[in-house]
Amino acid sequence: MSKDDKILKEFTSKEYEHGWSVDFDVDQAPKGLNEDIVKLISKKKNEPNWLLDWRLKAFSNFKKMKEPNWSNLKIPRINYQDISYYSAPKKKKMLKSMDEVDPELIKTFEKLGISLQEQKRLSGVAVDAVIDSVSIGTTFKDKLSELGIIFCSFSEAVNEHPDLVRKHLGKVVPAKDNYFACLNSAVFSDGSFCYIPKGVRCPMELSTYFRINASNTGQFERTLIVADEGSYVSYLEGCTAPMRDENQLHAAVVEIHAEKDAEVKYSTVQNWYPGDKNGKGGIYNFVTKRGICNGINSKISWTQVETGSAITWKYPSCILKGDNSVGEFYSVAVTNNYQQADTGTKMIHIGKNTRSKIISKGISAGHSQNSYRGHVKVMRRANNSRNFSQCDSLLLGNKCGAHTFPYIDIENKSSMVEHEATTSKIGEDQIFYCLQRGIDEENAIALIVNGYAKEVLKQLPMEFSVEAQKLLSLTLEGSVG
Amino acid sequence: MIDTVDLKKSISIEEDNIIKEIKSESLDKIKLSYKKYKEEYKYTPLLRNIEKKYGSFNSSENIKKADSYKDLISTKDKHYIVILNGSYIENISNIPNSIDIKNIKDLSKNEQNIFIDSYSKIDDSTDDIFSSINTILHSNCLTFKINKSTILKEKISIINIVDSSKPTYFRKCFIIDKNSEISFSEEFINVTRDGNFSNSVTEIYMDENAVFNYFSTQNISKNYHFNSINVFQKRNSTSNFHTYSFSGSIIRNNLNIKLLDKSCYANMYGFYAIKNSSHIDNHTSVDHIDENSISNEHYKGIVDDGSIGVFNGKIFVRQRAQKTNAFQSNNNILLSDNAKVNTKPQLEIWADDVKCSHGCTVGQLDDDALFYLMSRGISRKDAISLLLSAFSTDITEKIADKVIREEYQLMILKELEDLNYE
Repeated sequence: MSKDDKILKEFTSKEYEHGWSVDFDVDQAPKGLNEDIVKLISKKKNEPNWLLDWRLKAFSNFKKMKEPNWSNLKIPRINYQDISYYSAPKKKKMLKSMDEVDPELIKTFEKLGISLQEQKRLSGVAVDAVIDSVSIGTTFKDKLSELGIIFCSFSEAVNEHPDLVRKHLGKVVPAKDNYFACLNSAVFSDGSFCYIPKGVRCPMELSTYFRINASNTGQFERTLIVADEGSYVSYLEGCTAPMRDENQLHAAVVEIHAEKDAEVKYSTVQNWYPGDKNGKGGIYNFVTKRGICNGINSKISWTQVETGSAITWKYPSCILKGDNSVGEFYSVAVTNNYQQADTGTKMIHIGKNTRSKIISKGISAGHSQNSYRGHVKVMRRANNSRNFSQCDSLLLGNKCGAHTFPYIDIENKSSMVEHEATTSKIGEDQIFYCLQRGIDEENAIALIVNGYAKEVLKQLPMEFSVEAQKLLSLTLEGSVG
Repeated sequence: MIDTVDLKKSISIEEDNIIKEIKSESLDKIKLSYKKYKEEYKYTPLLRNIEKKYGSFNSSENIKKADSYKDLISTKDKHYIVILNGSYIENISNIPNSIDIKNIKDLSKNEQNIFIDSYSKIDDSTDDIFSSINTILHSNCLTFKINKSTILKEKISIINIVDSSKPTYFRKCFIIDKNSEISFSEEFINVTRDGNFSNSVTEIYMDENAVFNYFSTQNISKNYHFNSINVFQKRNSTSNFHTYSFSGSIIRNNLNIKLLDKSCYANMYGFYAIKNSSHIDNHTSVDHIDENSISNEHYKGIVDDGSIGVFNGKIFVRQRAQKTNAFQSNNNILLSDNAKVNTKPQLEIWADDVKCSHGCTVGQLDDDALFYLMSRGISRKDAISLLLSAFSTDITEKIADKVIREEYQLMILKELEDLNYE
């Protein structure tokens, strides 16, 4: 066996680190998808009638829709009737402080390396942790509420701030936007809601940690972020799921509203179970993320590090409606073994002087397929708009694939749009240079890949950046000769 | 879905058994190609326009005597080939001795077999509905055989004349034998009034060390045109394509190159300067199947008035095609607020030891450059046409032959004069 093969084999035989599951006392809905399940979820959540109607309308639309087949993915048939659409750790009483949280649960977080206690003390990150479908405890809530910031679980927000939710829900991602968003709209179980009032700069990073625990449950969370005039918020989302053999479905929706002068920064590190080395199991991740820059000078920035999931179908997008608004998209997508990723972004320029920037770095190894799919649209009245896109792919090994599908539609003569893409492997001369200076091959590759992805990683908040870098070098350990 | 009754009827009257079989196969594929229509023609509603206009795809017979078209031949080239509604008009053409042009049905059994092996085998009819329809409905497939080691320095003009109130079909099949080198230029001339539809499919087979140069000029005002060129290259062969488009209600160009063997070269260059609600759609694909091949692609365009420029370039690099170099680039200048550009440079790569890149830009003339020229006493109009012609030079300078290069540069200059820059 040559050295390359050996290293490749070592790399591909790596098992999933977060593969364990904790037995909570779980309250689970029967399998199947029908109107009764939608009603059941709504009832369990104690929802008002308008939301139930909204769900039912979404469900009736869902029944008419077909699974999308335009992506560059081979999606095995998903039996939507064989999934339980609601799973919640049994609530014993209302939780007010962290001490009341189930110790089992805290252990789960400790295993994940995001101990709430620890984070509370050290980093000052407020975490809204979502296990399966119900938001468990929100840290730092009191401190945030002093500033008027609302950061709570979605179901709480529905009951406590119905007007805000009603005003913004489904406005960026309409209920029948696409197949998976429509499914989410009908059966979403929980998620996070965040409202930053006028002129408030959120003093800490807000964070949600998702984890799919019970087997055979789909997770359908919904996040709604509203940044009022002149506000700023940085929002983090991290995801892990235990090792399960059956594929689990995840169809989330994230909606962001940025009003005049507001700025929202949304960062994701996704390391869900990607399936084993033969492509068995893993999470199907079908996510709709979209933000709208409503007011002038508003800004939305997406940063994502995608290392997990068997199938990723995800296009965080920006609608640049307000004049002078800015949209950004930074992405690193790593695929290995039989993982498939079709990810990218949409930048819709509607307002004048709007700017967008897309930096996408794809890394594929093993038998994986990694696609970038982007859409830059400049509408007729978007004078002086500007877009720059760069999507690079790195191939490790000769059995993987890297694909680029950029759609560029321009209808304004004063706009400037640039797109560039390259595909290559790690240069032998680069590795040689490192070796020559006493850096071994493993570290040389980690160094080069980290350097390759640096433009994106540096966009992440500190805590995440460290985690992401660790993830990258772990996943790519010795994958090229 | 399109109506297949007419298509079936047309197959049933076909006399040649082999061709009948090929046509029936194509009919089976039509469902598949229709499926792909939605994505492949996302920005170009050609099918809807044609169906609305004619209701049927069937063509009709020639009407006038061939001699009456003699005046249309204005080429400076010594050799030219005149094709009327798909059939070869021998008596007003002038071809060199080394080329043999025949209808596939008139070939001897032996000769026919050579073409049948390749005929309609690698066209894009599984991907493209108009290619499928062409395969089913064309009545004359013209075969061009270029024998071993034939080197013709002078370019040969192919003049296609469209004179019919119904859709017309052109079908050509080139076999270029080992070590040959040949150049063709092609144009379409519409005799009938606005809104005619011509559908042309060409297949080109290049054997080892062959060199093929192809120039296409598209200036068909208010007519519709579909053009699919399918190239199949063997070891060490080189193909050069130059496409210049200036007007047309809808022009759709498919250029598909398969580099089947090692060390092939493919160069694709295109330039479009369109105005008055013209619609140009260039779809290209290069498929690198084996090692060490190189492909270069550069399309540039100036889009004025209510015109639409569409570009879609695909590069495929298969797992076996290590050491591939593939480059693709598309640059556009928008001159009007009603103009649109839809571009999609696409890469699909399965091999790791490759160098591939693509880029595309959409923008406008540089105001600083314009100001610089005007500050030196050049009128605004002249400065603009100077900058625009400089923009086109990237493409024309790729023409190796000086005489041909100058001919095309002059032609572009003339077209650029008519553009409006506000």
